[in-house]
Amino acid sequence: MKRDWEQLHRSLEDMRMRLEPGYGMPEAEKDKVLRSRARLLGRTPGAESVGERIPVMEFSLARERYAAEIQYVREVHPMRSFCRLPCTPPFIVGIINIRGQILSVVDIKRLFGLPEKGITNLDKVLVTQSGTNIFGILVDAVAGMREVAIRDLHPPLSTLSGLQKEYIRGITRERLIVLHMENMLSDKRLVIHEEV
Amino acid sequence: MKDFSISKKLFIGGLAAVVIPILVIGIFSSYRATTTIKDLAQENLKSLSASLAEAVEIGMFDQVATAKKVSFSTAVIAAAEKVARDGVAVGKEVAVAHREIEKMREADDRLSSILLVGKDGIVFAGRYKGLDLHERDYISKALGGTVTFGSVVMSKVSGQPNVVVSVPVRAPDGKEVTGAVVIGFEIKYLTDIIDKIKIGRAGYAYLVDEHSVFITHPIKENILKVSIAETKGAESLASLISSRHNGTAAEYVWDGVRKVAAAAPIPSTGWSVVTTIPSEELFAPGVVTRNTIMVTGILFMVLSSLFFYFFSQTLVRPLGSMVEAAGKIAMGNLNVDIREDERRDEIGELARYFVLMVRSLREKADIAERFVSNDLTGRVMPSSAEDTLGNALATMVEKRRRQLKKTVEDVNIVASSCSEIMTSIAQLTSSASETSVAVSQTTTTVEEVKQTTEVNSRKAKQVSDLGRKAVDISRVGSKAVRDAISGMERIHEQVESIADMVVRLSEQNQAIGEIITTVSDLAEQLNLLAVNASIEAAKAGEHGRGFTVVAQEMRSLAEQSKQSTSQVRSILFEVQKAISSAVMATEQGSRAVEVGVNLSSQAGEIIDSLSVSVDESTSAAIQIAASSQQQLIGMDQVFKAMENIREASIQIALSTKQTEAAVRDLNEMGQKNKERVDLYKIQAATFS
Repeated sequence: MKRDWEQLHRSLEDMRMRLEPGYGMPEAEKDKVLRSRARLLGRTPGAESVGERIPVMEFSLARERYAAEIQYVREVHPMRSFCRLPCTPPFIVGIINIRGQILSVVDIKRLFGLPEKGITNLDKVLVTQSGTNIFGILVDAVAGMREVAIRDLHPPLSTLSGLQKEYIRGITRERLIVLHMENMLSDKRLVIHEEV
Repeated sequence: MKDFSISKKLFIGGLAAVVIPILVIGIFSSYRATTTIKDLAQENLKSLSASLAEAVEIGMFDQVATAKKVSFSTAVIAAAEKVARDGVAVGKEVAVAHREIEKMREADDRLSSILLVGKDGIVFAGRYKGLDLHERDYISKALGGTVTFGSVVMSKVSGQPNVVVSVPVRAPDGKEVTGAVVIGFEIKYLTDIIDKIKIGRAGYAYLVDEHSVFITHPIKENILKVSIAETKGAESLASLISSRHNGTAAEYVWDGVRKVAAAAPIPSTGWSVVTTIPSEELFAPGVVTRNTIMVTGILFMVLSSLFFYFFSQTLVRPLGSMVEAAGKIAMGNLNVDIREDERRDEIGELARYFVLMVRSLREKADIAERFVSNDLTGRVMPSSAEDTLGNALATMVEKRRRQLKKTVEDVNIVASSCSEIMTSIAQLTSSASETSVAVSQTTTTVEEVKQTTEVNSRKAKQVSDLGRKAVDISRVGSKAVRDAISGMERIHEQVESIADMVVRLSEQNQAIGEIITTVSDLAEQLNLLAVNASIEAAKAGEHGRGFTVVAQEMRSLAEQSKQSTSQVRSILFEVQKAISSAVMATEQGSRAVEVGVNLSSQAGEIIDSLSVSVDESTSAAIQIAASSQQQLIGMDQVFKAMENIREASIQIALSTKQTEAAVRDLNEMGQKNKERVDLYKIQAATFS
């Protein structure tokens, strides 16, 4: 095979140039990107909203989208170095240490009977709190903050029963399931007090 | 005896074996039986007469005792003494004695009289008083002092035989005989006993007195009248009686009847008791025994003679036919017909063997006849190893057959050889002419070869010149190959350095991958941080709204950086793949160069060896040129030799014709021999 060594040398030189520091997109292009972003951010919020809106933290559980009211969410923490606890119901994943505070972590997927996929490093813990009641919820991924109009919330399906009915506040048009955090946090059933 | 036939011998011998023992046993046993029976009978007679005599004797003694009792009575003794002293038969004593004895006589009716006799022999008491008896022998004997019996007399009163017995009467002192007592009595009570005795059918017993006169007899007329001693024919009995012995007499004749008798003496009276029986009756059991034995013997003789006759006949008859056949065979005539016997004994076996013998002889004769008529197909089977004739015949036929076979084979061989020789000669003739043609062809060929050889010689010279040039070229080639090898080695070094560089590139790539992972982690953390910040902002309410935007922006940045790291990661993966293929390509290049070096060095060696072989072929070509020259000379010689061969082949053709004629004669002779031999038949099919 006859190789064009001259062309090869040229392309190599080009690549070397690109890898050098300081090499970036042209100034005009940079400016354009920044402007569009400013426009997006400068929009007046609630211009098209109707009625009261509540901020929620959206997350995903087994490909379904869930949300928790932000007033009950303290923080998000990576699901790392957790410890399993013996003699606990299956929905208690274990305990986790967050800046010196020991929290129990609940798996809603087990409570709601959703498919399991196992715990990975990518999983997050949503730390929820209502008064003195505090525990973490294991979630697959955190989507971020958003607002939900209370008017848009539809009550859960009447076919649901038990825990699901109690723990779900409503479902939006985009099929975002908003959890009833007040119920969950005050539910004595989730408090495990057992001596072995 | 020698001239007798076997049947007669068997018959006589068998008969003798049966008859002689029968005769001997019969005669001996009948003799023994008759004598024993006779002896027994005679012994019977003897003992009978003896016991009768004893009975009579006892009867007599009875009377003697009576007489003695009388003689010892006191009255009798006194009377006898008185009579003897006075000599007169009167007085008281005599009367007393007379009364006493009369009383006694009347008491016993057997007594006929009791008399007292004085010394003078006159009866002085009793019935016959006054009777003078002194002449009587028994009186004188009694007076002498002995008891004596008188003779038997027939009583005039009773008509019965009477006997008297006299006993002496002695004086009271017991010494002097003063008289005698005489008692007369009838002996009927004794004779009755004897008359009652019956021996067998016709035997009887009787008494005789001392003069052999009958005292008793079945025939009354004979009593006291007939004496045996005076009867003719009975002398033997008479002498026995007179001998006063208890024994038996020889046969005698009485009244025309043969009789046997036994006698026993009565000592006191001198009488004898005789028992007699007809000899016929005595010997009857012996005769019966003898007759039985004789009849049985004769019966057996007849039966055995019949048996031996038939036995000898069955034994000898088959032998007769065999004797006749043997006579014929001895005269050489084998046309004999013997029936095979079903018998299982020795004669049957003899007959079977005889038949076998005749059959075997016939077979042998048949083979001999066929042998005479040149037919040797028959096979002789000797009956056994000892069959001399059979073995000799078999050997003879076998030898003759073998000779003939051999001859036939020889003749056949000669015939076939002749024809083979003829064929070969014909072939020889044709091949001789072929040879002459071939010889002329060869001569032409030799000429051509000669020319070819010249061409060869020229070509060889050219080859040697070319060889020299080839050696020079190969030297140049060898040098070029060495240059090529050194070039290849340089390429090899270059490729090695390329490989090193590529490996280094791969390592650096790895380091970039690690950095990218760290960046990705950082982006993730930033993301979380942004989320938490937004939470805090939300909780701050209206005051935190601006911070919410910042937090949002942070999040999107974190997201972008994460995407970038994943892009970088995929590019790095591609780069890594390219590096791996570059390493592989380099490795292959390195291997290819090594192979090239090897091939080049091999090529150099090959070129070297090529130059050596070209050298060798050059020198060979020179040698070929030289030998071609020699070949040329050789071909000349071959040409001359071929000329000689041609002449010789012409001569061979001539002599072959002569040989052919000779062999034809030989062949004819062989055919004749074969015809002669074919006359013999050796096997079922002839040998021709």
